[in-house]
Amino acid sequence: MIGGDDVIFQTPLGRVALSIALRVVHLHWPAAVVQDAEAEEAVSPSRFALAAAREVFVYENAAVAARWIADGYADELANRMVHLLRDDETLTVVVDDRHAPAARRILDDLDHALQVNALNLCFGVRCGQ
Amino acid sequence: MSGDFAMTSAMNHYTDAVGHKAIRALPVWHFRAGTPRTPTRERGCYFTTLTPDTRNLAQRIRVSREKTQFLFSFDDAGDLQPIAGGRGAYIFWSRNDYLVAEDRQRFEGPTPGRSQT
Repeated sequence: MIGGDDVIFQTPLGRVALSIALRVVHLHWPAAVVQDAEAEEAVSPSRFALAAAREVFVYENAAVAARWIADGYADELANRMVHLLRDDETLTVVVDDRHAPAARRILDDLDHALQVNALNLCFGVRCGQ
Repeated sequence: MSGDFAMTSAMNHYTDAVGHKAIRALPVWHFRAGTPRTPTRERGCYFTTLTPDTRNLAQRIRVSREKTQFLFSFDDAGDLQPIAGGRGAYIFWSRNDYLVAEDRQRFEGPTPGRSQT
């Protein structure tokens, strides 16, 4: 069986969308650590190499990261890790339950941030014409 | 069918000891549609193309390490659907019970390379 609740955001922002998502999650989880899906370790957001990342795990804190890396999912870890996947047209955010309060707050703020940044992108194009 | 595991493109199902015993009970593997713990995920059978040597496998498919202890691997017949979103690149599903006949079976047993709990 597979776990996770996949929330898909349609966005043209590409790599910028991932950057926005990391910042939003970090606002909610000030002690968050970040792990590239191909990496062994999680690091602080300031040390994370975002440029080439396409699939990322963001953990609530280092202890949660250690539990996830060692044992995988457990009920007490629900909605304490956000899995982000980006391509040119979408950002997928995987949580355990999009309706859980902790996940809902992050998703709502991310939705707002992506919309604001998409509007800014459109405005920038118009100004350049 | 236990034995050498060829890490080539295939469809995989990871499970625990209980699931392993149930699925391999008959010559034709019978994957039963189940209700995921996630309320919004549809009832069905879920599979992945991720191989046992995939880094951070448990995080990617969001299961406990215990649930990756056993593996069923079989030839993809192209009849499974990708889930919506980025994980659809490596997670596929069937709405109904899914049967895998012996001629498609590649491997079943303890997942290679993973320590058993």
